[in-house]
Amino acid sequence: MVSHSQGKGANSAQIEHFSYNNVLVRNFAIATTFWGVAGMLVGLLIATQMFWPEANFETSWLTFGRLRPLHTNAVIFAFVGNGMFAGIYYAVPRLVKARMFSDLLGKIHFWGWQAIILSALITLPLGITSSKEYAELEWPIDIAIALVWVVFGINMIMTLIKRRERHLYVAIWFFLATFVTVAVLHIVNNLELPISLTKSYPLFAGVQDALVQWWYGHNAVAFFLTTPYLGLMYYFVPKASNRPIYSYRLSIIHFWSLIFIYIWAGPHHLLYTSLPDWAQSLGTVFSVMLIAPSWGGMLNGLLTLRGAWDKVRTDPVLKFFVVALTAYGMATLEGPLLSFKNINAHTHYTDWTIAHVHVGGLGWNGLFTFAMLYWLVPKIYNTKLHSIKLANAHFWIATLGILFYAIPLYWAGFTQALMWKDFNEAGMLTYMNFLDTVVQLLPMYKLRAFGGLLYVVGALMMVYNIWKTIAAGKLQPEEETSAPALPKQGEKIQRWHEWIERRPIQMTILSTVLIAIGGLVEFLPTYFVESNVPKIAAVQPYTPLELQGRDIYLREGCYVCHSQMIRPFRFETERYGEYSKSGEFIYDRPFQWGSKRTGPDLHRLGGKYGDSWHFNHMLDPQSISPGSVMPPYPWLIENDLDKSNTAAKIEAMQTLGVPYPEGYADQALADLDAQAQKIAEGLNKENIPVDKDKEIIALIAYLQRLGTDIKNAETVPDK
Amino acid sequence: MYKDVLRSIDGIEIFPVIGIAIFFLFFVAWIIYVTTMKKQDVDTYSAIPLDLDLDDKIKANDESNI
Repeated sequence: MVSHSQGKGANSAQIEHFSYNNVLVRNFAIATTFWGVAGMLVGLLIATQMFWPEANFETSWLTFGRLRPLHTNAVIFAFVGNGMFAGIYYAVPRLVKARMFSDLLGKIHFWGWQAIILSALITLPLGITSSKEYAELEWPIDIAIALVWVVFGINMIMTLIKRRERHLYVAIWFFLATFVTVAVLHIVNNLELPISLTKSYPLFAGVQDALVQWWYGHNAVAFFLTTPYLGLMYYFVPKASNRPIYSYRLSIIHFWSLIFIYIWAGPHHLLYTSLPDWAQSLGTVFSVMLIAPSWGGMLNGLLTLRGAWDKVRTDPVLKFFVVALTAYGMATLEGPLLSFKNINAHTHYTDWTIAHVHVGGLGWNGLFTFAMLYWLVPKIYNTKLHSIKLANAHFWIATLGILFYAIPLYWAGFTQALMWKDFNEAGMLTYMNFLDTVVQLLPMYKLRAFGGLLYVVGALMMVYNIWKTIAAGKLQPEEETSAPALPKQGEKIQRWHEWIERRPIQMTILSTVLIAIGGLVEFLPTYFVESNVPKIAAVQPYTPLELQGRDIYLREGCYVCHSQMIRPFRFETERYGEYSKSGEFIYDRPFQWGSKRTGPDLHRLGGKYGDSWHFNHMLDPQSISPGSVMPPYPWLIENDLDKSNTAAKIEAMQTLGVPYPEGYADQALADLDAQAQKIAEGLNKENIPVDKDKEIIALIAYLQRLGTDIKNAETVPDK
Repeated sequence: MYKDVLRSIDGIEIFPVIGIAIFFLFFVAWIIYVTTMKKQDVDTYSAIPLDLDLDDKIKANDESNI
């Protein structure tokens, strides 16, 4: 074996013997399989709750609002995360002809990551959440994630430093970009002020918090679900088809343009919101530009298989790769289309978004991971796959599952958006009752759950197949190999990119600079130019009771089904009231704009109904809105409000710049009690026996406050 | 509102021009770079995952007509 950098004449270079560690690869492969199935089962449960709310079995832990974050976190960080690590721990040593730097760091990485997943599994159903989508875990877990991530980065970069292959293959660039960008995104989006071990408030509020969140949310898709898998694509597709990547030149353009452009596109999640227009436009422009590198990458992968299409007919691994890449292509064309304002006006808050992400999640990440496992597990167990036939069956059932999942949801998205904006001849909304538009979708939700069920059945078939493969083979824990040592002085560098292609640290730094440019351009003006978030005199900080109620709203994950952002459309203002202004959110930590309306928007809910309506509705939604798919929340009426942290919360808010009077923390509890007393008395008068110390009282206080500052103001500002 | 924000920044007109220029140059530079790469280098790099001997790598790439 000759390293290319020495050329043909270097056969005399000292040959070094070493081995690859397959134990870690095996561990991550088992973890991705296990958590993958677990995450999908949670998905199936909440998909069922969408048409059968009783499927929460009347426990708070299993409500949609708490399980949906568990589902997204499990699939993203546990399934795709472990899948990514299995692939990276297999590919990187082989691409650079060196054992991973440290077995110990590898172990810490593996067990640390599993411990984080386990902590998510415990905390999210308990309602311990920072309520920022895909970053819901609370601050101690955030710190653990950062530490374990750095361990992974050190292990990878140190491996690259002691490599025996001069050139860093393109897959490795994607892994490096993944490492640095996820680190930056994770840290910035989780800047928060802890008030206890299980509760914190973000440093940013309202519009700024939204911008940071969707800069993160979008780029978590980019740099956690996309770039590492593209790196794996550049390794495993050539490997499985036994032919080099279609165009290495294209891969260089693909890499730099993708990481440069991706980071700018986040604001397309906030079109028609209170985000400044210039930031929205920036997000749209860069989203459209993203089509080019995304499709370049997809075509590069697919065209690698040209001349091998006969193999695609028989080899399930290649079949999975082809459909995974096709799904990637569809999702990355759809994404830019969804970021056009006129299309987004139609699709946002509907099931279309859910269909879109699942084409990416089930199609690209899911099928790619399955292909990788089918290829990789027999290799490290020194055997053949137990059943090609079963893997082929898995391929078909998974592909059908995706179709049954996505098509009904696209249909549902279209249907609901059209119903939302339908006006009758009298100029009134045809479906003034939001529930009418939900009931219409229930058949589609059932079909979607059926699609999900097919997909899970397919995954279970894979579990069986892999298990039988493992049982038939024997793990090769250390794979012996040898390669010539890399001479200290390489041959002369003739071209400037060769310089960077050989330097992992400098490559990492350049990638960081590139992704930082887009991030900074987006945030800094919003953060520093004060007029970007105009103050509205009528907007006042929350009272202590409302603040406590808001934290219950966060705990129950209300934001996963209800937005708090009325867009400036007639069909929205007719239904909900005055459109939302950026200045209304300056005390919202975290912001609660949401991204999906399974129920109506709540931004102007305050004062719309009486307190007793809210009480009865939370106790039994169906009694107030027959046919509603909202689960009941009886525990809010049973649980006493934890008031012990009230002063700490007020002080934390003061630290973050909320203008409560000095020393207000001491008085907060008395104010809280007084406001609670008033609400409880009102309810008692309506023959609802409830104590003022119950959680429901605080929640009602918050719901009745929502959006009222502006209603009560004499003049309504434009923005 | 965004117009007011942008107006308040001195010399804002030049920003988009600089932006598009950086962007354009960045991609032109890459295109020039990749189109002038040596074929043999490209072949060797793209064969790294295949773990073949050098001669095989070149052969595999010649067959694929990149």
